[in-house]
Amino acid sequence: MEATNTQMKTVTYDDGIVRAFAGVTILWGVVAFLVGVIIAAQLSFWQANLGVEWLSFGRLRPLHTNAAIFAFVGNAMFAGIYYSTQRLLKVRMANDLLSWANFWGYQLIILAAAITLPLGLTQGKEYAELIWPVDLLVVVVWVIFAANFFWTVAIRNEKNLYVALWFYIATIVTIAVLYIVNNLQLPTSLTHSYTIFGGVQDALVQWWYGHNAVAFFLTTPILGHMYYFMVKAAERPVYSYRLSVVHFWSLIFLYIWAGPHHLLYTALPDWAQTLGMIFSVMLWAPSWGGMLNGLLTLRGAWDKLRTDPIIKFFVVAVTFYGMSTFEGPLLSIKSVSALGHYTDWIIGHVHGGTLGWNGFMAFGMLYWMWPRLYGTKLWSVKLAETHFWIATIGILMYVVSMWVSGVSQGLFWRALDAEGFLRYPDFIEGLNNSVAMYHTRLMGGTLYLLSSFLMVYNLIMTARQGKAVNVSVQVAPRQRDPEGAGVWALMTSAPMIFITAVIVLAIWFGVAGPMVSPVALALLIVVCVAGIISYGLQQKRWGHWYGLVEKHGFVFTVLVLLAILVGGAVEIIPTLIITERVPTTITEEMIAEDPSLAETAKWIQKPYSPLELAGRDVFIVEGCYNCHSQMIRPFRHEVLRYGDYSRLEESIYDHPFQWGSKRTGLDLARVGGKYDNLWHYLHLMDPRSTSPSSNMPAYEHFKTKTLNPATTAARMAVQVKLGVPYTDEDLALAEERYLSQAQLVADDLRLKNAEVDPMSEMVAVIAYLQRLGRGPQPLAPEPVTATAGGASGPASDSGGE
Amino acid sequence: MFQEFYAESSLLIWPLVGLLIFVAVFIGVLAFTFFGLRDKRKLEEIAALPLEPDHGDDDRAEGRAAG
Repeated sequence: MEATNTQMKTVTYDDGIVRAFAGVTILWGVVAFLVGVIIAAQLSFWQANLGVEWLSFGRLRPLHTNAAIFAFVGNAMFAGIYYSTQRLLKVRMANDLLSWANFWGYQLIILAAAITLPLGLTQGKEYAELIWPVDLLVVVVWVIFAANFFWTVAIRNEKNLYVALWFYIATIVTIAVLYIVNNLQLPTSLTHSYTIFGGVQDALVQWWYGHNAVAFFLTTPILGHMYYFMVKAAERPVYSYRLSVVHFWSLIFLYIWAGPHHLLYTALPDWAQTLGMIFSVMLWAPSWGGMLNGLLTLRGAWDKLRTDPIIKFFVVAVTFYGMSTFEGPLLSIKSVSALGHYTDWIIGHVHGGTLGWNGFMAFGMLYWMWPRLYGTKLWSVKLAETHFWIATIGILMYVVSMWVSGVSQGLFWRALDAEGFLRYPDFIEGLNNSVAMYHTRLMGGTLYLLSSFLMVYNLIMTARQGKAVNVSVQVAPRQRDPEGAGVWALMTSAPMIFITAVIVLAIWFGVAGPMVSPVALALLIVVCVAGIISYGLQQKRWGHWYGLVEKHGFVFTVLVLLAILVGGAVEIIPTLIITERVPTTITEEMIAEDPSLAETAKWIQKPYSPLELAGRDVFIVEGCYNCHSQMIRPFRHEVLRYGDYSRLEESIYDHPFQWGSKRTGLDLARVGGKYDNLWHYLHLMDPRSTSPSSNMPAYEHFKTKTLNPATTAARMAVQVKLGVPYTDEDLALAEERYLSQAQLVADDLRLKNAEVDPMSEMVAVIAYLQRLGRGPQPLAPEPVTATAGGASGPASDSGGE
Repeated sequence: MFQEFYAESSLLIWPLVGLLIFVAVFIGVLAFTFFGLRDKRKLEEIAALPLEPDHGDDDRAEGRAAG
């Protein structure tokens, strides 16, 4: 599409791909908000689950989060990147076929998610629920996108890479690393797999991914949009380009370390928690630097705030960015996390980020971009204004109600009486206190949804009054920089040698013994002084070097990759090693040889029985982790309410881990034996029968749906490959043991007048719940026990659900 | 005992090394940005890249939306 004349050449941008991505952003946005409203209604009124298994909260909540993050924000991200990249690089995207493969591949992923998640096909990890074939498709589509983007960078007509493009590069590189590592898994069938990491490893990797999905999917590309679209709307350059440089490098360096703040006071080793907290608190500075840089871009143009809804959207978006990035580090402080974790406060926080920051940025961008894509003006500014105000009121109602509810829950759960016992032992009482706030949240979410319909109508009318256009511009071809250096010359230049030397000496200082480390430190100081002198003597060359790095997309990408790998590797590798030290087997003979092993032996975990494993798989299918944690923190109030605090080794064979992040219901880590089998049966059939006021959906289908023990036996064989110590005998007798334990549970229920098929999901789930927090349970009638669950009679302290 | 694994593990030096690297690089970036990037004209040129017209002659006028 390029025609050359003597000096200038005509470039026609591919705006068709931008229109496509912008269009589906609107569509999927409405879907994401609608599903959000439905699940908010389910939390307010349990009847909204409609008794349909694929419409229950546990299955729809992953659909909502995936739709909001990957479908709505993801498509907005692509639309913004395709629009701004072409203009900033003054070139059409390198390959139209790749662009459209990116588009259709991505829509196929979303469609697959929309079908599989309600069907309960999931990995059971928050924000990483997609099953392995869809994961593979994600990787292919991301590679296509990356190839197209970097190819475009290579053939660009603009020599400088504007800061928005840096954020895009960081997004592409980091998401690739995060997604692949967190989704390493072994398939057991076309629709099921087990994550290769288990327990604490899985928790750390998951939240390293989960937090950085927020950082590099919901933040860095949107910051790129801020640095482009806000500048366009304000018609002013960014307030400080220097600040944007610091913003970028410090943000990507810091973000990658912050994941463990999602696991404060859990069984994650304390050093990793502290590291996550420190880096999260440090994130305050660059985040607010970026926010102020965005807001101050409007210097001299604040009058537009009165008249231009696009500026309104951008300003509120950036304000929400500031609020979220203040709240995030605050919640990462251990003492604050002790109060806020597992509560609705976190829900308010993430919605402030996704709907406030990302949503309003997307709306502003769409209102700015859409009329230009159709060569016309916006159909109605007033309608856009109305959208802005209704959405703002909606999101504020949402966030404030969740703050109130969350802080109340945190205080309620931890309240002790004068004797040091729980003041409010009944969990359900706390849920009842939140109902008014849940209703307010529902109203806020509904307003946000309704306001988006105004945008849909406005943009449809805008498109109808205009005509799709592909913009053509005259650009000067990029000239080879006469002072430019090759990649190799750049990598071996003085600044690069200096950076490498600092890193190597810092590592040496760390690993060297007490005698050698002072030498390393001395050398480090010498190198730093030499660097300063060199810089003083050759300031221009050093400045020029960085300019060249900016222009070399490859070098820039390598530096970004290094920055993110350091944090990830340093946190994850030690945690991968510790689980290898947890013994799997200690025999009597081993203890006879080494009596000290007797103490260690009591920590050894036994893997789930076949029936329990099958029940666990059903538990994951239903998304129970969305409301129930399995991680008791070492606080008196938690130990009083749930039992002894959770330890690292207890979940070591959990693929995937199920520690959870939210307690709409009780923690289940030690629920085993707390109630008898009949209680669980009644509770699952109708939660209100045992826990009045509960908002949990009923799971009547557990009674009618059956499982195949052969499937579980095959899954156990896969778990062996992941390090779960099932013996050959365990595998050979898997089906037999499944049947005998299932019969035991069914017989116990029959004795209490509950007729249940031993092959039903109900029996498997009950067996799994009865195992939690306890050792292996009886697999057969011998030795004789009263119930498979062990305990008889419901515990009296709490309603629970 | 594996519970004491980290108490005696040399692996824990790595987070400190990582922190050291971060601090060094961060100070470097900060110093470099504010003292090294002195070519103000060049910076302004890059900062103005998004403002270059890309919708024909009247690009900025199109930023005005009308009902």
